[in-house]
Amino acid sequence: MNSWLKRMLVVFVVLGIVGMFCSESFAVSEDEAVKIENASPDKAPATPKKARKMLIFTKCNGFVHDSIPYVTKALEVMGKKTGAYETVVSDDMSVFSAENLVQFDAICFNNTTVLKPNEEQQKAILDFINDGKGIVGIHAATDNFYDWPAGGELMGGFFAGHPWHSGGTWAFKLDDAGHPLNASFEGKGFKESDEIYLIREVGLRDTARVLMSLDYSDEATSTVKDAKPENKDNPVSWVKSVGKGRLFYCSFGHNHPILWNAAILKHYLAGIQFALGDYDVDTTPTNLTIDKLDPILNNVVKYDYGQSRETLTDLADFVRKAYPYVKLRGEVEQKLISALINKEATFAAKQFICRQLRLIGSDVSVPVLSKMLIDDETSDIARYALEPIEGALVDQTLLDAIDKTSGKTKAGIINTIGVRADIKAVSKLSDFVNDSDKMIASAAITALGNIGSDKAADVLAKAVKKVDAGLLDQTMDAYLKCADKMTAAGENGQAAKIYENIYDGNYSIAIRTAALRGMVASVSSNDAVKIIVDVLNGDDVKMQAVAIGLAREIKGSEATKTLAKSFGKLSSSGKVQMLSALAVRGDLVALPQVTEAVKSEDQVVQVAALKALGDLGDASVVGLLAETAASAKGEVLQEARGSLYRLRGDAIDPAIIGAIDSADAAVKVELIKAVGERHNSKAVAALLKTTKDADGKVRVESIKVLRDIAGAEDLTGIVDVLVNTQSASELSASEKAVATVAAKADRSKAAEIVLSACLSAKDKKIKCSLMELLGGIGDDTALPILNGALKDSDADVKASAIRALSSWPNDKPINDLLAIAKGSDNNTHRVLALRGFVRIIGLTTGDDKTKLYQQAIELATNGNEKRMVLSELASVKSYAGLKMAATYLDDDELKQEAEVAIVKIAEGIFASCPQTSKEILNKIISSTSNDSIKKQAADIVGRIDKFGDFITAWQVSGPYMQENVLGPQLFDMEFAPEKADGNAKWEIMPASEDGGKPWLIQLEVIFGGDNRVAYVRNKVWSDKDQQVRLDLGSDDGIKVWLNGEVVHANNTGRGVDPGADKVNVNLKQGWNAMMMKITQGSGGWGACAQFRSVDGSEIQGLKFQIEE
Amino acid sequence: MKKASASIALPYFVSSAALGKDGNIAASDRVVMGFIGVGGQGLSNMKAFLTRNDVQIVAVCDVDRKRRQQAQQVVNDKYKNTDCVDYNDFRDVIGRGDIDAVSTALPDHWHAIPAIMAARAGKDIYGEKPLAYNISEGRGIVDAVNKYGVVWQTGSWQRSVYEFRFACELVRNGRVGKIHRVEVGLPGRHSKMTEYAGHKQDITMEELEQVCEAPEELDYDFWLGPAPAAPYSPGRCHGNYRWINDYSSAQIADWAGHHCDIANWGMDTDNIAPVEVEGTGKFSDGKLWDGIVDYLFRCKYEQGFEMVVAGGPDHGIWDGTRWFGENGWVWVSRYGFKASDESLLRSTIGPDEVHLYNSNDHFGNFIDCVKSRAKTITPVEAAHHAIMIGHLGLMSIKVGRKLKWDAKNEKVVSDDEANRLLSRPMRGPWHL
Repeated sequence: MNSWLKRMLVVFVVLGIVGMFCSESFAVSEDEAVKIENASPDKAPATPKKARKMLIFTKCNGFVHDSIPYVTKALEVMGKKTGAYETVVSDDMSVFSAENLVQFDAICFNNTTVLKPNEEQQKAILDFINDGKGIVGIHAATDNFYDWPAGGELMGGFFAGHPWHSGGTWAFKLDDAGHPLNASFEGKGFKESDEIYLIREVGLRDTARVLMSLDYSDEATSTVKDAKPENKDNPVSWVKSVGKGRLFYCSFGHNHPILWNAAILKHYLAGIQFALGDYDVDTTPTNLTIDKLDPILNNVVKYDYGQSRETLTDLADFVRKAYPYVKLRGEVEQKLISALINKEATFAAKQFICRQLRLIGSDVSVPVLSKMLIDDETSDIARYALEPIEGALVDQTLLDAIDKTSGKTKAGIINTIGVRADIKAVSKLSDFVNDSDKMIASAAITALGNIGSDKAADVLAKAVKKVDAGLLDQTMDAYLKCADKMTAAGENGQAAKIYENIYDGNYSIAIRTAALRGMVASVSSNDAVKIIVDVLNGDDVKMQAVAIGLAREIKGSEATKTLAKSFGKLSSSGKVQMLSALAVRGDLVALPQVTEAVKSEDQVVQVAALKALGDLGDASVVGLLAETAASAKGEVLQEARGSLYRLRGDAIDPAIIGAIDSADAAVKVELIKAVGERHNSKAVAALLKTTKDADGKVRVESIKVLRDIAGAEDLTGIVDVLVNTQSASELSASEKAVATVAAKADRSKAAEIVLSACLSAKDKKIKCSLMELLGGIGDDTALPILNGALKDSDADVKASAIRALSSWPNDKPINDLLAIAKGSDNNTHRVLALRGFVRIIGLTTGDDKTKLYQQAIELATNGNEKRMVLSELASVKSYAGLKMAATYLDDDELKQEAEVAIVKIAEGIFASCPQTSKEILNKIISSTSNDSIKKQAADIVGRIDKFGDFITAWQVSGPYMQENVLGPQLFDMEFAPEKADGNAKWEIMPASEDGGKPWLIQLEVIFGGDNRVAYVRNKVWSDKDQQVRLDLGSDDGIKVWLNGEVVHANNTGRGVDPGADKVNVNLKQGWNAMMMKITQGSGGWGACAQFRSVDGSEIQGLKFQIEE
Repeated sequence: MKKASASIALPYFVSSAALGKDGNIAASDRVVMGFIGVGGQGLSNMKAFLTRNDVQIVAVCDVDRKRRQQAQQVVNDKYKNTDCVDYNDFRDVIGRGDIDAVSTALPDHWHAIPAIMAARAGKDIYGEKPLAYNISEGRGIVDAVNKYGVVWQTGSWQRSVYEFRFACELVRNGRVGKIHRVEVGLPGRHSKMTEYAGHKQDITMEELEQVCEAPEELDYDFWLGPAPAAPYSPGRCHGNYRWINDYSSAQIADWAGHHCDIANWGMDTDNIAPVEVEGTGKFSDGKLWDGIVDYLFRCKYEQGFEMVVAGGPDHGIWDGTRWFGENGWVWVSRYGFKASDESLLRSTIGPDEVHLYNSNDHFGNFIDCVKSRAKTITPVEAAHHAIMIGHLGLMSIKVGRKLKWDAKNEKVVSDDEANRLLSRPMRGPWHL
C-alpha cells in the first residue's frame, strides 16, 4: 500500500468512519472484479435470520499479503449478491471495543499478521465470540496473537511456515465429506494452487471440527521440503463452537485466482454464514467421536465404591465436552442407557450413569428409567435422572409409578412429582394426604403445596381437619403456599379468606404469623396498615410483636403516621418494639411521638425512645439529648449520648457547637464530648474558647477533646492552653493534648513551638512540663537545651531534663543517662537516669544489648532497681540474655523476676538452643514456687522433648517478594541471602505454635501472605567427614545449600510432609553452613528438616547452632 | 385442638429490668435452646452459648451417639443437673414446645430440611454457613425464615469482628474510590480431618477411603439422609464430608460464607447476585473425595464491578477479601488488615458516613435479636447471596461455560444443563 493510501485510511479511522471501504479503486482490476462477480454464488446456502453485518479487518504488523483487497472484494461481492450480509472494513485496532463491536455479527480477519491486541481488546474479542457472535479467519488469520495464548487457542493454531508454497499445486482431501460447508466440493478431494500454512495446532482437534486437510497420498504434497510428513496430517479448513459463538477458518486466500474459484468462494460463504449465526452446522470436534466413549463405559460399568474414581471422571469429562453438540449428546445418551441395562453394571455404576443422565437426559431415557423407578433398589437413582427432564412423558411415568410402589420409594416418587409441581397430579395425590404411612402423607401434602392450584388448596383445606398432629405444620405450610400462589396470580380475595381463617384459628404463633404476613401482602399498603393497627389495638400481645415486625416493611409516610398514632395504647414491650420499628423506618413524621416517649416513666421505653432518636432525629433533638445525658445515669445516659453521637445530617454539628455557649455547665460537658465523639475538627476555635470557661469540668473536657480534634496547625494554640492552665488536672490533660497534637505535626516544627514556649515560661512547673514534652517529640534541636538543663542548679529542672531524655525516641541520650546513673549523688536523679538508661537499651540496634543490661544491673543499688532491669531484659531475644537471666536464679531477692524473664526469653528462642533452654527451664521447674511459671516452663520443655531429630535451630530472613511474580517463579530468583554481599537481616526463628508439630518451621505464622520466599540458616557440626541423608518436607518449594553449594532443589506446590524429599549430602568434619529457601504460593507455608544416616537410621554426633 | 400458642414461647424484648439484683436472669426470660449437630463446629457453638446466663440449653441432637452424649455431658456439667436431653432425630428437638431457638451445625446436605422445619415451628435459628447445599435449598430456607418471621443468624462471624466491619466501612464510604474489582482468596486443597472423624489421629488416606461397616454409634442411614445412597467409609462422614460433592463443595462451601460474605458486605450486595459467572477448576481424583481443589471464577455485577474468587495453588489472589478501587485497595483477612494507604487504617468514620451494623459478639447478637425481633448482623438473605457466588462458580466450572444469571427468578438464562444443577432430587422419603 503506498503512503498516500495509508494516510487516507488513517484519516477515515481518525474521523471514526469505519466506513465502506472500496478496495477496487487501487488493487483489483476491473477484469478481476468481473471474474470475482461471476464466480460468486447466486444464492446463499442459508436464509439470514436478520440483516447481518461483518467487520473485515485487514491490519498487518508483519507480512502484508497483496491478496487482501481481493479477499475484501470477494467478501463484499458475495454479501451484496446474495443478501447474506453487509461489510465494513477497518485496519484500526481501536475497533475492538465492546461498544464498537456490538453492531457486528462477525469479524473476518482477512490476512492480518502479527496482531497484538491489548488486554481490553483481547477481552472485547473473546467476549464478542463467547457471547454468541462469529469470527472468520482467512489464510494469514493464523499468523497472529503470538503474545496472547488465548487468542491462539481461539483460532486453533499458529502459522508454522508454508512448505506448500504459492507456486505449487497441492492435493486436498475432505475430512468430513458430507459436511454442509464442504458442499461445493461435491464429496471429493481436489487439487489447487495456493500457499497453504503448516499449522502448529493448539488443541485444535479437541475443540474444532476439521473440514478439509492436505492429502498426503499425493506425492507432490507429501514430499515438499519441511512438510513434516511424519504428521501426515495438516488441517486446511475448520469450524468450532466457542462459548455461544462460532469460528470458521480457511487456509486458502494467498493467490489471487483463489478469489474467482467458485467452489472456494462457496465454501467461504457457507463458512461466513455459519459464523454469522445463520447456518447451523455440526461443529463436533474431530477428536470427540462417540466410539471413544465405549472403552470409558466398559470401565465404568465395573466400577464400585472404594475403587479409583478415574474412570468416572473420564465419563463426566466426556459428557461435559459432548454436551454442546446436540447430535453427539443424543448418541451419548443412548450409550448411557445401554450401559444402564448392561447386566454387568454395578449399583455404583448405575448411580453414576444416572448422575450423568441428570445433566443430559431426555425423553429417550425414560423407558429404561421408568423400570428402575419402580424397583426399590434403584428408584432413588432413577429419580435423580428423571426429575429434571421436563415434559408430560415423565409426568405420566411418575404418576403411573405411584401405585406400583410403597414406603420410601413411593414417598420419593411423590416428592419428585411435588418438585415438578405437576398440576395433573392433584387428584391422585389427594388419595394420600391422610395415608396411614406418615412418610407418604407428608410427601403428598408437601407436593400439593408446591403445586399450589385452587384444587390443591381445596384438598389441603379438608386434610387440615383430620391430619396427624405431627404433620400439621407441614399441612398449614402447604396450604399457605396455595394462598401465596393465589396472591401472586391476582386472586387476592380468595387468598385473603384462607389467611384470615388461619389467623383466626387455633394455630401456633408461627403459623398465624405466616397468615398475618400473607394478609398484609395481599392487600394495598393502606389496608395493610389497617390490619396491623387492628392487631396493635387488640389484646393479643404475642401477635402485636409480629404485627410490629411487619410494620417495619410497609412503605410510606402515611403508614408511619398511622403506626405512630397507635403508640400510646401499646404495652411496654410493644412500645419498645414499635420504637425500634419507627427507627428502622427513619421517618421524621414519627418524631413527636418518639420525643414524647423520651419522657416516659418506664425506663425501658425511655431508653428505646432515646435510641430511636439517634436513628431518625434531626438538629432539633440535639438539646434534648444533651440535657437528658447531663441529668441521667446508667443506660439512659449511655443511650442519650450514643444517639447524640450518631445523629446524621449537615445541620447536626453546627447545632452542637451553637448550643454550647448558652448551655449549663453539665450540658456543656455533654455537648463538648459529642464534638469529640463526632470528630468535628471544625470545633477547635469554639473549644479553645471553652478552655477558658468558668467551670473547671468544662475546661478539662475541652482540653481532652482538643487532643483528638486539633490538627498540627493548632499546636501553638494548644501549647498556649497548657501555659495558661489553672489546675493540676488541666495541666495533665494539656500535656496529653500537646503530645498528641505534636505527633501530628512536623517534628522540628513541633520542637520549635514547644521549645520557644519552654524558654519563655515563667512558672517552673510549666517549664518542666514543656521540657518533658520535648523528650517525647525527640527532635535533635532540643538536645543541647536538655543537656544544658542536666547541669541546672534546680533539682526539679534537672529531673525533668532526665525524664525528657529518658523518653527520647532513639538511643542518642544513652551515654548522658548512663553518666548520671553512674555519677549522680542525687538519688532521685540517679534512679530516674538508670530507668531511662534501661529503657533506651531496648532501642539500641546492636548485638550487645545483654552487655548493656549487665552494666545496668551492676549499677543498680537495690532489689527494686535490679528487678526493673530484669523485667526489661525479658524482651531480648538472645542466648546471652537467657544465660544472664539464669545467673540470678539463685538470688532469692531476684529469683522471681529472673524466672519470668527466662520463660519469656526462652519462648522466643528455645528452638534455636533447645538443650541450654531445657537445662535452665528444668531448674526453674524444680525450684519455683510460682505455679503459672512452672506450667509455662514445663510447656516449653514438653515442646523441646517433641523435637526428635528435627533441626530447630534456625535463623530466618524474609519475606522476599516481587510485584506480580508468583511463588514458583521466585524459586530461581536470587534475593539478599543468596548474594555474597546481600546484607540480609537474620533473626532467630521462633518455635512452631503447632503443639503437634513443634519442629515445624512455621513461616505462615511469622510472615504469612502469598507469593513470597523466606530463608533459614544454621551451622551443623559433624564430628567427621561423612555422607548423611537429609530428610525434608516443605510447603511449597525448597532449595538447600550446604557450605555454599546447592544440594537440593524442588520447585513444587504441596503441604509439609516430613521426609517428602530425601537427599544424600556430604558433611565435612567441623562446622558446615546450611541454608534453605522455602517458597510460598498460597495457603500454608513451612518446612522441616532432619539428618539421618544414609540407611534412614538415627544419627549421632551432629550439633546445630545459630550464629550468635 | 388445644390452642397451640400456649406451648410456643415467642420471645420478645427482655428489658434490663428483668435482670435480677444479682445480675442473673429469671428462668422465664432465658432463651431456651436446642443444638442440632454437636460435632466440631456445633460443639464449639454450643459451648459459646453455654457461657451466657440468658440462655438455657435443654436439648442436644446428633446421629453420632458418642458426640451427642459428650455434648450432653458438657451441658449437664455446666448446669450441675441432668436436665439436658439427647436426641438422635432433630424432629424431636423441633417438636419440643419449650424450645425458643435452635442452633444447627450439620453437613451441608442436611442444612435445608431441619432449618425449614424449625422455621415452620416458629423456632429462631442460629445456622452454620454455607446457607445450603445448593441454591434451590437456600431459597427454601430464605422463604421459610421470612414467612414465619423467625430470627436467623448465620455462623459468618467475621462480621462481628472489628477489622472486618471497619474494612467494609472504608469501602462503603469510598475511601479507595469506586470499586471495580473484589478479589476473594479461599483455601484450595482438602485437609484430612482426623480430629473430627472419631478415628485414630494418624489414620491414613487408604484407611479413610476404605469401604467398611459404619461404627455402631453412628446412625449412618440418617446421616446420609437426602443424599444419594453410598456405603460407609471413615473419610465420608464428620469433618471430611466437606470434600465430597454429594454433601458439600469443599473449601468453597466452607469459606465463601466468610470471605464472599465480607465482600458482599463491603459492596452492599447482601441482596444482590452477580449477572454473569465464568470459571475453571479441578476436582480431586481420590477414591472417595471428589471435591474441587483448585479454582478461579469471575462474577460480573450489574453495579459495574467484578468479583474474582480463587482457591488452590498460585492464583496470585490474597487470602481473605481485597477491594480494588480507583484510588487504591483495602484487604482484610484473618491474617491481617491492610490498605494501599496505611493511614486509612487509622482514619475514623464520620457521623454522616455509612456505619455498618455494629456487633462485637456474634452469638450475643443472635440472642439480642431473639429478644428484640430485630434483624441479625448476618440475616438469611446475606447468607444466601454469599454462598450463591460459590454455587454459581461451581456450576460454571461443572458445565464448562459462562453462565448468565437471572437473579429475580434464580435461574440460569437459556442453559438447561446448568439449571439442572440448581437443585437435586432427594433420597426418599426426604423432602423440603
